[in-house]
Amino acid sequence: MSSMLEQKLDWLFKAYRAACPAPDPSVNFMPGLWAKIDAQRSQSWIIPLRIWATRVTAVAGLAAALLAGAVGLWQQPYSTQVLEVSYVDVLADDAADEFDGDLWLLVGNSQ
Amino acid sequence: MLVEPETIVRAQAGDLSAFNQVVTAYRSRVLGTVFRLIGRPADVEDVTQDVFVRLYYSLDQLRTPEAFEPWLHRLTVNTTYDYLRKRRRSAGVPMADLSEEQVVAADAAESGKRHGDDKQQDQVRQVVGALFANISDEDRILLTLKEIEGLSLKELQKVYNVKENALKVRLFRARKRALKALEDLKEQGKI
Repeated sequence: MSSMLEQKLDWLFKAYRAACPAPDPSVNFMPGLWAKIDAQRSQSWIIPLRIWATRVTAVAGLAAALLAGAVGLWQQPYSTQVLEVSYVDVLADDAADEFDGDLWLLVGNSQ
Repeated sequence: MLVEPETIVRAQAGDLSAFNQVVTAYRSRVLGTVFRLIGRPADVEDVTQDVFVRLYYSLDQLRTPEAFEPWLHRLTVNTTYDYLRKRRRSAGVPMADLSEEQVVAADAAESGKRHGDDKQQDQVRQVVGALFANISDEDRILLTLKEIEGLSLKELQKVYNVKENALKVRLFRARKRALKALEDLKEQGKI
């Protein structure tokens, strides 16, 4: 960067301060300020309510998860009973059914 | 300090007349800083009021009255930053090369009613407005506080709550980017 550009920037900043003096506050400055303060105060109950709602949602979610877990544990013995029938057993049953069918077909053709 | 430390203590304790005193003492300074930070006269008073609303609701967090001024600067910076961010977001695109101030200045120049000094000041506002539109809000605020408001490094350290070296690096980089933006504007023939 050239030093001329640096000088130009410094000059601009200095001149900008002079070009932007503090404006006079309007007659409505203080009433407007207090209106904003009061408006925020009247809304201030919403913030704790939001926090409370968020916490309740979180607790409810946790409770639901725990309940679901508990129900899952309660039903687990039943599930294991179902799983006691092995995959091989199921395949064997299916194969037996197919075999019976083929036999029936063979018997049918021969007659 | 523009008010006695006792006034700040009283305001912290909920004394509304003390709070009014603090606002009255500092509002002109804050109005000026906000004006130079946002560069949009129409919104200066609104943003300044927001600074004092924040002050009202967080005054109890101030540890010592001596830390009041840097703290007020910090509130000013935060409020202005939020305003600038909203303005950029509502614009939808990066700020136009021709800012509102430039349009106003152009209109004024056309009317031919202004004096020479006013015209020069308008031009300065135009150029700085265009420059600020081409750097980040963070750089804009930091450079305004240092180069235009004239805050010392020590004061800036209190405002930003960072170490001197980190601040120097930030300032160096911000200035470098501002120089680049100025160079670009010059190349485009906008200044």
